Amino acid sequence: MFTGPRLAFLSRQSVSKLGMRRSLSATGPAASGAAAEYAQKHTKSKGDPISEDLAATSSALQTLAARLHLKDIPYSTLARTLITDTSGSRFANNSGLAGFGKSLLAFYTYEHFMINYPRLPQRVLRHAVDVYTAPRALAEVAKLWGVQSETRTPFARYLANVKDESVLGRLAYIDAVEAVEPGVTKITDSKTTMHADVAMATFIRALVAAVYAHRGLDGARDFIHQYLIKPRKLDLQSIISISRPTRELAVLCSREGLEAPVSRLMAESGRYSNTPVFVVGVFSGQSKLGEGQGSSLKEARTRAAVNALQAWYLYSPIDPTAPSAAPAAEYKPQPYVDGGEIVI
Amino acid sequence: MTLQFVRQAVRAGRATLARQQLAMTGSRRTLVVVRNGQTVVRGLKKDEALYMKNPHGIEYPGNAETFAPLQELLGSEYALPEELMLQALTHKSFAHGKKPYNERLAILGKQLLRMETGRATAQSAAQGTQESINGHNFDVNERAIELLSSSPTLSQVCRLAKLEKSIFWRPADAGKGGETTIYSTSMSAVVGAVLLQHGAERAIEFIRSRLMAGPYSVFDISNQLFVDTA
Amino acid sequence: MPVQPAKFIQSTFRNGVGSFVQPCTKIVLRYCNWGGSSRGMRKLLNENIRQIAAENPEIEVVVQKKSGHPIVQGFYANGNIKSVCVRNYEPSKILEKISVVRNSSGEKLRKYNRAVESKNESVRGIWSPFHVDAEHRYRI
Repeated sequence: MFTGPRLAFLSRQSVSKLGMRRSLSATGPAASGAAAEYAQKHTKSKGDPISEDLAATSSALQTLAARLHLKDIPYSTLARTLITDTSGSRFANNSGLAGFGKSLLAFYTYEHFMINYPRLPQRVLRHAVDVYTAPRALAEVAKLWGVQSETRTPFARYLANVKDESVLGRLAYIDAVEAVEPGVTKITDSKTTMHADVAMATFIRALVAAVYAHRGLDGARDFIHQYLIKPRKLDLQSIISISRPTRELAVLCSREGLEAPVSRLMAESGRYSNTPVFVVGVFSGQSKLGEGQGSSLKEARTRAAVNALQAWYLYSPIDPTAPSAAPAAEYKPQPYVDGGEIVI
Repeated sequence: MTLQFVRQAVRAGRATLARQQLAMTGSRRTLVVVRNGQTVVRGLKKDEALYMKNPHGIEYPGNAETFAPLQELLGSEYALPEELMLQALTHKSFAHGKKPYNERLAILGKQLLRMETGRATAQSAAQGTQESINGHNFDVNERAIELLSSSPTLSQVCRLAKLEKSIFWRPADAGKGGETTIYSTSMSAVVGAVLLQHGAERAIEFIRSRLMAGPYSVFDISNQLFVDTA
Repeated sequence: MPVQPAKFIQSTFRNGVGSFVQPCTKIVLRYCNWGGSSRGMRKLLNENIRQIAAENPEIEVVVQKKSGHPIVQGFYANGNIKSVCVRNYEPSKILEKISVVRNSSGEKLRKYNRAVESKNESVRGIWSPFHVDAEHRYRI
């Protein structure tokens, strides 16, 4: 399986584990000494662990797990994903899990866009990923999953004679926004409070990390795609906003070695009337790059250039294979088609 | 830009003409290049030779020698096609973005690095503790994890691997810096390129074997760079 | 200036694409110990309650004792609550109502004027007079 020259480049520990590894579901090669030292040096303290029996008493947690088909994940881990670091309870919280889950979510979302839209402009790409992974988006998803909140302070819970264990199964956090009286809202930004959106987002991120821990990287990828990426629909065409389309198209054509773009009027109606219509096509030599319609010649020409640029930027290959989708032996790289955004 | 102006300039001896390109047809613009740092008229197209060199004087697209350090880092099992290597090492500032640059590769590579460093840290931190979530302990200082894939660390990796001369970029002004960003972007872009060329499984192997172990380990570098401000 | 995103454009979330999450999260079965209208409900709770809970692992089934008529209440992911009064119903009819509540999305009932409602743009495109062949184009 491994040839001689390859082995020379790999460390001892990686080689021993690579021989046994079949897919990304396994924990992977053991970390070297430096990694272990670094990790242990920066470990944070955590709270009390949640026992499986205690977590299983919460019906809200059981139904949430069933709704998301998470039966293989222990209730103790799931209960932990719902406790934020502002909950004020003694239990271990989800902040570390959320930190890792955020990076998992970011990677797979970026990969999804890069594979399906290799030429998407950088700012549009970042905004699209933001639409999918920002706290506001994740909070919307959490609400659709029926996550209940527990926003009472520890003192309020004590007064209500409610045990610490009752927070399990509900998203426990202290809301930074408080409606004090009609027309007056108090917002407290401190380490002990959290906005509702952010709290929901930490739950989703922590859940993704929990799914990774128990199902492996492939399991986490499938979960993210099925529950967070596929259901969401964003019209990329409507969010691209180009400021100097004709100029940008000219620069694009010169960069790609195409003939300079020329706009030609293809059809018109009602030129001197109240509602004229002009249809302009922008051509590079004999091929039409884009077409636009407008109520003035200038507008039509601008729209034609915009449409041509959108056709370029929103290019999507047919049935692309994501790098993380196929195992190493079956993965075939796509030709890399993106030279970068146009710089005017 | 007319023939007359060029003749005047030559006569006046105000500028030295390195290359002239005079077109007689009406549809092509006349181009004049002035080579001593002074542009005479706005809207001139610069001679390519002026901006196709990186700060170390290597001309685009480089040669086998330019890619040798990167090829050594990658090894034979993570080899990349030349075009992709060149793109990974070209920054947006080079040639005003006319040549394929590494912005997108860097974004993807950075995300993978961030994920992998978090994963490796979580696995390492679980060793020696009783409570772990199936072999992972995610309760590690976030700043320490971020540092592992941050600009200072990655730019140091780039320096150690001696990739500086291979990178095509253009500093804003001589001696003004920008090396940290450029070098770290290039390193992330290399990871991104490996990811797209060889798939995620191999890219993760690459990160674990070349960037988390051995002479360019991000853990060792981050250890030196970490300053506790908590 | 580089290409910018229009940040005000919203995205939609489509339950059922990629995965489906049951919108009904909780069902409350309210009964009264004294009233005759609760007879059917009381019989249902004695016989079928465990079966209902077992068949619906994603839904919290809550039994509530309150004087008055018996109701079946559904709590949904969009925050709505649907209440169905089941006074004087037989257990089989109450089971039907539980099924209706469970299968609902929680949206308010509304009148659909069109046979098909879609968020996707048309597949074949919309006809334009300017893209008709020049020979057959209508000229004023």
